[in-house]
Amino acid sequence: MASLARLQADFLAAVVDAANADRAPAIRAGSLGAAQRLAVYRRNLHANWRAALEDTHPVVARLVGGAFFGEAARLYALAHPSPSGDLNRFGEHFGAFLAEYPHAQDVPYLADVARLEWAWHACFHAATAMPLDFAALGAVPAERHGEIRFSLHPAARLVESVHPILAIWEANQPERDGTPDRFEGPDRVLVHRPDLDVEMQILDAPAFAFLRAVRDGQTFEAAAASAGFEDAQALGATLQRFVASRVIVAFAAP
Amino acid sequence: MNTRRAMLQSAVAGVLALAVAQGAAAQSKEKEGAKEKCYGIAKAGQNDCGTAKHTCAGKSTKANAPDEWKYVAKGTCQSLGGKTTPG
Repeated sequence: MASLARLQADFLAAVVDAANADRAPAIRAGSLGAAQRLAVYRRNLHANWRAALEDTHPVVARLVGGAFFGEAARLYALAHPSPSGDLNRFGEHFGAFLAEYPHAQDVPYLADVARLEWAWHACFHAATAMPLDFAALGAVPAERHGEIRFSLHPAARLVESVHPILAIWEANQPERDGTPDRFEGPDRVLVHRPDLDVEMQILDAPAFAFLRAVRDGQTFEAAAASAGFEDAQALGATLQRFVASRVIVAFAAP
Repeated sequence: MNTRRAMLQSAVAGVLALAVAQGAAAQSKEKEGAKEKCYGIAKAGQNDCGTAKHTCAGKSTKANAPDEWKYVAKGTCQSLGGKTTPG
């Protein structure tokens, strides 16, 4: 490695993690020693990571308290370094991290609440979309309707949990005291931002399975089958509901 | 097979019937649509590291060792704790 590149890599390692502090020998001591001067940068960095995660996961932060959250944020950042100059993309794997984090095992719903918060955040920043092109849909021959592949609005996410994650999320909004309305899951949540505001709603199992199959690129026939729809009325109502609410906004013709 | 095909066709036909109503609704929505999404306001401070909120947060040179933290989650809904299965 070129010496400048090595110097930069060592400096980065020393700033990010105190365990590597001795890898930045080029730093001269001033009124503070080299280790202390590095620590100033390190704490700024960690404080920013924490603030970014707390912005996107306010409910998780409230559930576990500041000390726990700060330490989890620090370890998350070391395990999943920010992939971008934009900290809005930083917390994507926080839910997966919490699912494995030993100290979070006492709070079994925590990881799923984090996934729900990330879905909210992702929907907030996702693109807008035009409604379904009905003229183009009308041009698909009726005998090939089953081969249509619908697709979801870019600002639509599906989050499923055995825990009552939406009730927990709602109970931990600033104006609430933290007591959920429901204590039983499972919660199958559609997170959606059809216009300006992010909306969350509970779906029943067939509707959730249908949207999940659509999201995963299955044909209309396969999606209807995987959701278990047996009668035309239930399937028709489900499709209309999600087209009308602009959860389904596009399709690929067969 | 024919029944299923009929089911799929009638569902799509239902959506096409919806188009008329949807079109009218979309037009009225456009008229009232004076609001605009204001990027960078609601989530300010996430893409720089020198905001008023953050800049001083880590500046203390006082040692703050990780083992000072308590690994205890202070859940606000502890009554849910331990519940790993539905029902």
